[in-house]
Amino acid sequence: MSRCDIHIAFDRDDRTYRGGERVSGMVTIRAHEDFRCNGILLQHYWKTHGRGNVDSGTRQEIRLQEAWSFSAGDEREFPFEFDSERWPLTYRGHFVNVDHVVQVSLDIPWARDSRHEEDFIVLPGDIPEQFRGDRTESADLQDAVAKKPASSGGLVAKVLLGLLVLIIAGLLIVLFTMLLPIFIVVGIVTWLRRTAVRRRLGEVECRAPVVKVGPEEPWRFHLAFTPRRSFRINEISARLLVQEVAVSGSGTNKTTHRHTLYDDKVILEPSGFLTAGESFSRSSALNLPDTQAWSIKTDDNSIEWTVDVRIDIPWYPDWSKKFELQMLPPAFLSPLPDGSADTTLPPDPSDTPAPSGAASDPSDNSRTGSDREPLSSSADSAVDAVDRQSVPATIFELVSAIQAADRYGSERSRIADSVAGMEFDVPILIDRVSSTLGLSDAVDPDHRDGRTITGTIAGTEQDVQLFTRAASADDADALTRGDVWEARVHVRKWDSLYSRLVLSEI
Amino acid sequence: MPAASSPGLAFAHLNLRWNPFRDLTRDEWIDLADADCAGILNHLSGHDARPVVQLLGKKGAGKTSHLLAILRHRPEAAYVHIPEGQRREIPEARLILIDEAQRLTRRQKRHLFRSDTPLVLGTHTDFSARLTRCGRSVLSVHVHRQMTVERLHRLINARIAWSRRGPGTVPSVSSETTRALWTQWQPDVRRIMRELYLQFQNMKTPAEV
Repeated sequence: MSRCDIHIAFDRDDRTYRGGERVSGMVTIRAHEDFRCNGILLQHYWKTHGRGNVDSGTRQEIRLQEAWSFSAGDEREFPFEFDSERWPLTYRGHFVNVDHVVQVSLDIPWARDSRHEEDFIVLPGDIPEQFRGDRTESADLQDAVAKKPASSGGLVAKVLLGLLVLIIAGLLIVLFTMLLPIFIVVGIVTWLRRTAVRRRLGEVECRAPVVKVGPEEPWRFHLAFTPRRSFRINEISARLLVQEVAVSGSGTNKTTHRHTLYDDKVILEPSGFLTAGESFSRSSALNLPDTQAWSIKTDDNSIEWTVDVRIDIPWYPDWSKKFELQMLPPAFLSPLPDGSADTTLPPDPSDTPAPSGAASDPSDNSRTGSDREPLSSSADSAVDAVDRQSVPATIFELVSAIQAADRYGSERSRIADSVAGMEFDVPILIDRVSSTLGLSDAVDPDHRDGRTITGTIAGTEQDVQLFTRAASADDADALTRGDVWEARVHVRKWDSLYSRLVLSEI
Repeated sequence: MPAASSPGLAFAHLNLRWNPFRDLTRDEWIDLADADCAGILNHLSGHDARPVVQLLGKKGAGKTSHLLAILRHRPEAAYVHIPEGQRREIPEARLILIDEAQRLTRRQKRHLFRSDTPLVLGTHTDFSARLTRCGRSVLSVHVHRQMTVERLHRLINARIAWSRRGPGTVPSVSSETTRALWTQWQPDVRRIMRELYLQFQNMKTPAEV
């Protein structure tokens, strides 16, 4: 029998917390014999487990107790609390799992430490700093995970390391010189390959507006080129591949395990002929699945989201371009660069018609994220307060009510719905003005040909999206970032994907 | 694709904390190493001067497990693993355990073999002749001969017990399944663990495999 039992209890039965939320609980230690310990330490950190080597994050330490003597039969309790990490989030997969743990250890002199750990679940909550950038830019996923710091050696170790680096650099130079002919051959082959592809296809333009994506979004991209010659193709396609990658062992024992979570392909052009001089221009989309497989990259474990756009030419080098997407929780995603309510873009007028069966425009993207369950029931629901007491008379009262409501439930939507039909005067601090897209389901006929303004309600932090009438288009076009524009509006809805109010000008 | 619903506690449906046959950290491996070390420990602490133990065996046979089991009994020892294509400094210690000893440099071998430091070498190469020439007292252990179906069965179910989440039923692996796995994959215990990982990954309720 061990010297003692260590029991860790969390304040929530389901042990489920949002990133940045306070985690608290109680550590109970029951001694089975007399012993002395030099201290009781609580550590909390994330770690991976599964088929790959175990990666873990920085261990945050809380000293629960200094030196202490236990007598057989003693039972002592130590409360603890800390803020949960925001990233990585708990994940359950086939080869890769991510968990957050609390570990308690008793430092017992001249004996093996007694320790015990319990896991808890971290769901999307506060946005990690690394993900605050634009959706067009990739975040550094390895930087996003706080990792176990590398051990720093002493002076001798550093000198040896320096010498080793110099030796390796020298060897590399010698090796490079020896292998130079091979590099030249490989370079020539690559150049010939590219030249051959360019000779047939001309310059190929392939672009996508975003690399940070959310579940159930359509990921749009555009491919355009004008063939210089007529030739046959097997197909033009875009393949979305989602894989868990876990590396186990090292050296000769190193094995890479891959498990495909999702594999989908859209055909932009089926097998057939491309005619010289006839331009090919196609906007299309891959519908991303409903998932919790957030992109992650640690030393030996990762979840990779890639799209391979390919022009498959028989008996000839293919043209291809690979996009690395970053799948993130909707709450972490900033508005799209064009300021539209969804990721759908207007079809390019130059788009050539899609073949039958090929993907064309994406399906409706108006996901709201309102399916998220609140984790903790707030005693005084803000929406009840609105219903019971008074309907907000001004936009500022409305913003206050929304801010007071649980951001993850449907309360904010209900508050916004409760003021439907009411008119508000709103000063908007302008961030961006763009043309309203007629395709969006959020736009009624009165506001087509108008402008879409994104910004914040002046004097608050509340983001808004405003659809202006066509008559106001010229005034809106004259606005620049930082201007304040006053408008009389209706509240259309709460957009939980972007945490903003959607308004329409009256 | 994993379900898009919120994740629950890992392997709670099997009353486990994780897949018992997942990869281990070094500390976990030390805790779980099940090897018959009595003869080895006797040799190291016996009257023979300058003892050396060689652990010989193919990949996955259990050389590292033996080394880590020795480390558990002799925590004052220094353990060094030499990755492929790399060099490692060998520290001064009262007992040195070297994993993948065939990757020692010539100079390191000469220095170590001639020294008085007791050694345990996990290796694919038999150094006994050379060690004897250096005046060492050598015990060679072929680790795959140490493994039996009974020991493997115990090892597998120890992994499951270590992964237990709480009181109640947990899955188990029968001796018949263990025998079948051993017949198919011996002496590669690592491969057997990999097969069991997949079995447990797909298991819905605690049951005997």
